[in-house]
Amino acid sequence: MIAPGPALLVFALLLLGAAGIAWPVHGLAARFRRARRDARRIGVEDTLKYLYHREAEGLAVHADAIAGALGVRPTAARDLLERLGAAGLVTSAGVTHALTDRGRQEALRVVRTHRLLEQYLADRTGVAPDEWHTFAEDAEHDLTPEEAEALAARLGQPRFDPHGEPIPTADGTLPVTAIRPDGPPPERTLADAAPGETVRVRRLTGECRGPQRRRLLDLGVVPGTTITAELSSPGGDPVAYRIRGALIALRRQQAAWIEIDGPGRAA
Amino acid sequence: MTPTTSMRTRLPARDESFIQLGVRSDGFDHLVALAGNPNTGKSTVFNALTGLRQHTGNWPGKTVTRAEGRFTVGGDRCKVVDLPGTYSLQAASTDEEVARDFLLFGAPAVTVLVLDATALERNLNLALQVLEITPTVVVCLNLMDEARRRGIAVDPEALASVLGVPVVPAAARGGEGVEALRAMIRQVARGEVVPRPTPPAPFAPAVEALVREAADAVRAAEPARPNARWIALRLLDGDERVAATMPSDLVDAIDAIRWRLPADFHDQLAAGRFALAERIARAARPTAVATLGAALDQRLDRWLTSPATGLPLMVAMLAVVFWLTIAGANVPSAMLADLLVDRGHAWLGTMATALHAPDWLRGLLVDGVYLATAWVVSVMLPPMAIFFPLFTLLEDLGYLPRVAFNLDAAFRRVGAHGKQALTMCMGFGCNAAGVVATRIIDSPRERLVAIITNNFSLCNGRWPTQILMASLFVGVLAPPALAGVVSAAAVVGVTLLGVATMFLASWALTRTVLRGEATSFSLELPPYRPPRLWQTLYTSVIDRTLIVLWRAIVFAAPAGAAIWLLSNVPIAGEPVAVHLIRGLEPAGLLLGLNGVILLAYVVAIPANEIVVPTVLMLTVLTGGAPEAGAGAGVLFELDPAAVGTLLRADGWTTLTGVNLMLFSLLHNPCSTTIHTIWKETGSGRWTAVATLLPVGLGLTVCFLVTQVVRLLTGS
Repeated sequence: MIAPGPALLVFALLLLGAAGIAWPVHGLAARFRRARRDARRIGVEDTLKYLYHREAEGLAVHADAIAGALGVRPTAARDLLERLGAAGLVTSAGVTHALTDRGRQEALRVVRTHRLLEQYLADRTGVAPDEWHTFAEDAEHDLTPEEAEALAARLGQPRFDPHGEPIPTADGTLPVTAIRPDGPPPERTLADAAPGETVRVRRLTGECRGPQRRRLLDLGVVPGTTITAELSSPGGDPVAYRIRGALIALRRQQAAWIEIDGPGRAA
Repeated sequence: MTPTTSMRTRLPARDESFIQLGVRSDGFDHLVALAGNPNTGKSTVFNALTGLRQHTGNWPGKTVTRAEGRFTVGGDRCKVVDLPGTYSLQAASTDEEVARDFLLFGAPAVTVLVLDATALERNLNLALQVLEITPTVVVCLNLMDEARRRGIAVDPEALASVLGVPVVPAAARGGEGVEALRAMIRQVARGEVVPRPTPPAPFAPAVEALVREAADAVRAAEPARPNARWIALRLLDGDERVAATMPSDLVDAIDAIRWRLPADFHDQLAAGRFALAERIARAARPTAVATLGAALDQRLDRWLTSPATGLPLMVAMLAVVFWLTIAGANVPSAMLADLLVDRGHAWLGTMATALHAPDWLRGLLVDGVYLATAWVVSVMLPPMAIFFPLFTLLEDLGYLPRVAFNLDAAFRRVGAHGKQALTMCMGFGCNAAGVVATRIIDSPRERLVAIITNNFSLCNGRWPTQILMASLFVGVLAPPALAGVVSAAAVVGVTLLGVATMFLASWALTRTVLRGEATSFSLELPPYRPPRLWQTLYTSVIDRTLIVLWRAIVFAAPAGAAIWLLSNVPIAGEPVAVHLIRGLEPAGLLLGLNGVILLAYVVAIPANEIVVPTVLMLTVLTGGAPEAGAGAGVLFELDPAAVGTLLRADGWTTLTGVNLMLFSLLHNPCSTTIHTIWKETGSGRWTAVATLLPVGLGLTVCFLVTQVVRLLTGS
C-alpha cells in the first residue's frame, strides 16, 4: 500500500497544478485566452470601429492615436491603415485618416454586433454590468452577420443597447441619437419602506432590466401602483409585499429598483 | 363547424403546428384551453371539469407539464388542455411561450380564463392579453369562497358587462359553479353566446397615434386578420414569432414606426394594461369592503415566518415528515421484502425448475432481473408512498412557499433561490423527483444550481446503507446503551454534511461555470387553503411515486441481469466480477474503501437500493464465507450482526464503514436521476457536471479522510 505521506503530497501537487491551469484571471488557461484575444484585437474591425467613433465625435485621426488606442506599435498601425486603404475602406489625407462609405458601413456592422451583444448580456444573462463591454468586445468578432441577425430577432429587434446607445440597423443606418436609460438616482425606494407602510410606485429604475423588469411589470409594479410592506422574513430580506391583492416576496436588491414617492408626498 | 368559427380572430392554424402542439383532432367536438395566473386554483378548476378523465405529460419538446382531460356537456364532447399558469403572455419564459403559442396556433374553440376573485387586478392583466388574441373567452371567477371569507365582494355580472365576455362565478374546490361553467363553455363553443370583448387599453395620445398607424398598416396588408392591433403591438415589441408569420414588407414598415416610439414603450404597454385592469376591477367591486377575513392568514404568517417561532416550527414540521416517512416505511417495506424478495423469488425459482428452464436462464431472469427489481420496489415504494403525499399536503396548504421565504436569505448568499430548499427536501425522498420539482424555480441559473446540487440530498435509497454502516461501525464504538443514539447522530451528521456540501457547491457553481446564466427572483405567497385530501393522494401517488418507481424499475431490471452475469460468467475459472474486484482493489484501498465497494457502485448505478445486497454478494463471491447468503451470485441480505461478522472477516474497519457512508452521500446520481437531469436540462454539459461533480468530491473526500487518518494513527 502507498504510504499516506507521499500520497497526500502527490495529491497536493496535482491540486496545485490544476489550480495553476484553471484559476480565473491568473491561471494559464485564462492567460492563454487573453493572449489570443489581444492578438486578434490588432485587427481590421477594431480600427474601423475606432475611426467610426472618432468621426462621430468630429475628430481627425492620426496613425499614432490608433496605435495608442489599440495598444500596438505605430508601425503596425500604419501597416494596418495601408491595408485598409488598399481594400477601399479608409482614405488618407496626409497624416489624418477617414472612413470611406464602404468603411463606414463595415464599421456600423461591427458597432451593431457589439451593441446587440451588450443588449443580449444585459437582457438575457446574469453577466455583471461592468463586464458587458469586455465580453462583447471579445465576442463581436466571432459572430457572422447571419448570427448577429438571428440574435437581433431573438432579442425582439432591440433599438437601444443597455447604455442607451442606438443600435445601427441591419442595412447600416443609425436613425436616432442616444437616450439616457438610467435617469437620476432614485430619492427613495421600496427597500426604504417601513414594515406595514403603504407606498406609491414612481418608476422602475434603469438598473432593473431583462427578465427581472418584465416580471415586476407583469406583477403590476407600474407607476402609480400602491404597495404595502406586509411581512418580513426572519432575516429581514426578502420582504413580502402586498401588490394588487397578491402577496409577493421581493429581495432587497429588487425592492431597491422600485422608486417610490417620498414620505411627504404619498398619495 | 359552428357559425361563429369565422368570427374567431386568430392566426390560421396549420395541421403541422397542431401536431407540434400535441393535439390530435379526433374524438372531440370542442377544444377548450384553460388559462390563468399561477395560484388561482386553475388545476382545481381543471380537475373539477374533467374528473379523473385526464392525463399528464410534457408539452412536446418542452419540460413544461401538460395536463389534458375530457368532459361531456349536453352531448358535446370537450377536450380541455390546461395551459401553464403564467402572469403574462409575452413569451418571455418557456411557460409563457407554450401558453401563448397554444392560444395562437392551437385554435381552441373556447378559452376558459380562471381569475382569482381575491386578486382581480393582477389577474386581469393576463385576461386583457388573452382577450387581445381571442374573443371566444369564458371567465371563470374562481375562489369566490375565499373572497367571501376575506370580505371581498365581486359582482360577476358587472365584471361580465365591462369585460364583454361571459363570467361564471365559481368555487371549484367545493364544486360550486362547475356545471354552469360547462354549460357556458358549450354555449360559447356553439356560438349561442357571442362574446364582445372590451376594447384594448389605450396609450398616451402620441404613442396611441403610432400604434394606430401600425395597426392600419397591418389591416391594409392582412385584411383577413381581425386582431390587427394585437399583431401591430407584437410587431412593435419585436416579437420574432409573430413577425415570421407576416409579409416582410409589413414587418419593415412597422420597423420604421418602431424608431419613433419612446424607449419605455414596453413599460407603457404594461402600465396601460394595468390602468384598464384597475378600472375594470373597480367597476366589478362596487362596494369597497374591508378585508377583515385576511386577519387569520396574517396571524398565521406572523407565526410561521417570524425569527422566534418560524424557524423552530419549520424544523419541527420537517422532522415530523421525515420521522413519519422512516418509521412508517419500516413495516410495509418488510412486508414487501417478505412477499417479493423472499417468497416471490423462491416461488419463481421453483417455477423455473418445474418448467425445466436451463440454469443460466433461471439465474439471469429470476436471480438477476427479478430479484434486483423486487429489491428496488420493496425498498423504494413505501417511503415514497408516505413522503410524497405528506409533502404534497404541505404544498397544498400553502406552507411550502413560506419555507422558501424563510430560508431565502441563506440561499441568496450562495446565489441560489429559496425554493431550492423545497427541491432539496424533495430530494430526500428521491433525487429524480427532486430534479423534476426544480420546475417551480423559474429563473434559469437558480434552476440549474438546484438540479446540479440535488444529489447532495440523501435520497431514501441511500438511507438503508447509512443506517446499516452507522450501526455496524460507528454505533459499536459507543457504550451499548448509547449505540442507537450515536449511530442515529452519525446518519444525521452525514445528512447535514450533504446540506453543507449543497450550499458550498451552489456557491462555487454560481461563481464559476454558472456565472453568466440569467437570473431573476420572484416568490408568491398564496393564501393558506384547506388541502384536498383525495386529490393530494391521487396526484402524489400517480404523478410522483408511480412514475419515479417505473423509471427505477426500467433501469434496475437490466442492472440485475448485468450483476448476475458478472458474478456467474467465468473467465479462466473465476467469475468476471472477481477479476474486476482484484483490479479495483488498489484504488479502493487508496480511498479507504475496497474493490468490492467500487465494483458495487459501478454495477449498482441504476439504484442505490441494491448497493448493500451487491456488496454482500460480491464479498461472499471473493471468498469471504461461502456458506453465507442465498447461493453463488445471488443478491441477499442478512441481519446486521451477521453482516458485521462477514464484513469484518473481509478486512473492513471503522474507517471503511465511515468512508462508505461518505461515498454513499458523495457519488454520482443514480442512472434514473442522470436520465432525468438530461431530460430536464436538455444539455449534455450540465448532465456531465451534475454527474461528475459529486463523484469527484466523494473520491477526494474519501481519499483525504483515509490518508489523514492513516498519517495520524501511523497505520
